[in-house]
Amino acid sequence: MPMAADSFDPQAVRGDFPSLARLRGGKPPIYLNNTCMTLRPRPVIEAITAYYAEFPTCGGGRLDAQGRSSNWFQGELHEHEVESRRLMAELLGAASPSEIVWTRNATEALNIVAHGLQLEPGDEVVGCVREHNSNLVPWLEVERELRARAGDPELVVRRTFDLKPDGAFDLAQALEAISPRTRVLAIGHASNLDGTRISDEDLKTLADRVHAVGGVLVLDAAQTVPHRHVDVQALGVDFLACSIHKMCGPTAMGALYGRKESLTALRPFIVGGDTVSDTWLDRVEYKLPPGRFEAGLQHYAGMVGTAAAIRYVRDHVGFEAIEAHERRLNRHLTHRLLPLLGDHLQLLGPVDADQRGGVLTLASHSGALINAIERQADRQANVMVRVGMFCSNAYLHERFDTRGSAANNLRVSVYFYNTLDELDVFADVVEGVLADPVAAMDEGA
Amino acid sequence: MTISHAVRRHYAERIFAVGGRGEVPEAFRPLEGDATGRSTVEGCRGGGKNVLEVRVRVNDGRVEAISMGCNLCNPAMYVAADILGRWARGRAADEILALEARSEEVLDPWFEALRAPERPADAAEKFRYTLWAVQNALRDDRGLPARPTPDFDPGAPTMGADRPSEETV
Repeated sequence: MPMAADSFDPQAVRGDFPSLARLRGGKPPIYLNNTCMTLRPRPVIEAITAYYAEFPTCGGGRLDAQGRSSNWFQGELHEHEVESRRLMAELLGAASPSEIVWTRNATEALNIVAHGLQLEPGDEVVGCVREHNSNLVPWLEVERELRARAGDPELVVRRTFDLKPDGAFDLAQALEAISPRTRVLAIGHASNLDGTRISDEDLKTLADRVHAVGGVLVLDAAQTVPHRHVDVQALGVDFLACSIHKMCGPTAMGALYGRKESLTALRPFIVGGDTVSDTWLDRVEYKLPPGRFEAGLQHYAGMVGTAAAIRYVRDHVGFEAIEAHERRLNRHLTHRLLPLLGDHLQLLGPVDADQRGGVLTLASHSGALINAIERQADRQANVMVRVGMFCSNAYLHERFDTRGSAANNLRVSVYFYNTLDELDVFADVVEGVLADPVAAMDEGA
Repeated sequence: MTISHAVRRHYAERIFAVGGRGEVPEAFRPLEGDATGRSTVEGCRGGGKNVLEVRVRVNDGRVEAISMGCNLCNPAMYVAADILGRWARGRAADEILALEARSEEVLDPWFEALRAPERPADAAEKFRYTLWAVQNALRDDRGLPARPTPDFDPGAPTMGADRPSEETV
């Protein structure tokens, strides 16, 4: 039974996270880098450990145990594999577990799609100007290949649409970019840079439009699946990529959802052991999806841990509580930091915290100032945040090279176990640094 | 390394304060027009920060334009980039490429610009890294590969001005 959204108290879950009980200098950690990777609760750690302690064997059973003998350990692992895939399908609203492909992360999932779609010269891929590198670079590679095939270095393959001036999604510009040549609309559901998200209504409109021209909707949902209910069928999504390590799950565990017919049409990207039903010296017969996309021995401990993570996040905490709590946290931090912003420090994205999910990113002309805040936060109060470009290089270059560097940014990202007090500690650090910024810049590397 | 008084003064007055007015010091403005050479240097060992990007446009053998980008740099790197950026503009590429980054004498004009006769170690180290990056950008302009960046450890003995260049460019 999920926790109530209006009365959710992070103290009710913090005891489940062993890493939060650690101390350095007598102080606990304050982990505010959840957009990158979250902490793990005890049930997930125990599930991962159970694989290694109890049935540490090779799987490969997929949905039907095809291809490997089923002994004691394999039988137990097989049950976990099936259950984990079923839960993932259920989490995303997929029609069947066979629509779920395990990957290392969302990046790998997006590569499987980009390289598997077999686009032709003349086909176009639409995305926004702020796609994460994981949803940009694979398509740049597709562009490079198609241009080479066409012998035309200027061939238009990728079309990008802009955002509103404050970074919010702009449906009108997105719709305008979709043309009869569009074969793929590949977009991020929520930005890891500033937290802005495409609403369900807008996403459905986009899906309808791209389907009307014969294209597919590829959704990079790495920043939404851990935080809210995402239903691929209701939204009209053809492919969805997400990372389990951003939702309390094991490291290097991700998933690709593909609508059955879309997945079946994909050419396998990484092939070899376990992707085939049979081989001969001159030919190969691939398994049906998802098996054909899961090459070699897999991250079985990750699958077992994924099931535990889904149960913990969705069933124990609940997405309503998560969304509501993140909103409370971001409103509070925004309220604390807004008075401190000015010439030296700005907020990326909309001022309204409700539009930024659990993300607050600060930007500066001064990398030294950003470094000082990060360093003081870590040293004074064990606060862990992230600095840099967050894989949004292209967008940041476009907008901020004029200030001397696009890399001078610091991101705070929260999850359900964070508290208002923790954010106050961080805000106090920022306040202290800004009181005498140059003095705070000592000991830079 | 603690920031020296001279670096702190230069950074506060000529870089941070200017940025605080919504402008960017000249050396850090984007290059107008295309670059003919570019390079990056990581001005600290093993850090992954303090990355200086240099873009140059060489015309008729001279540095017509130069732009520095400081990615999460510390004040000393900013200061070195600011001073060398202004110093390099209009200078002959051959002259810059002939300089030996490990020599003491090469630092003279930059310490003068810093108004630091005490020659603080933090500035010396970043001057050397910045010169290395500018030289690599000029090598890029000539189609030559970048030279790997050495460690300019301020605690290490100076190699001396007479040390021959590793490569002739």
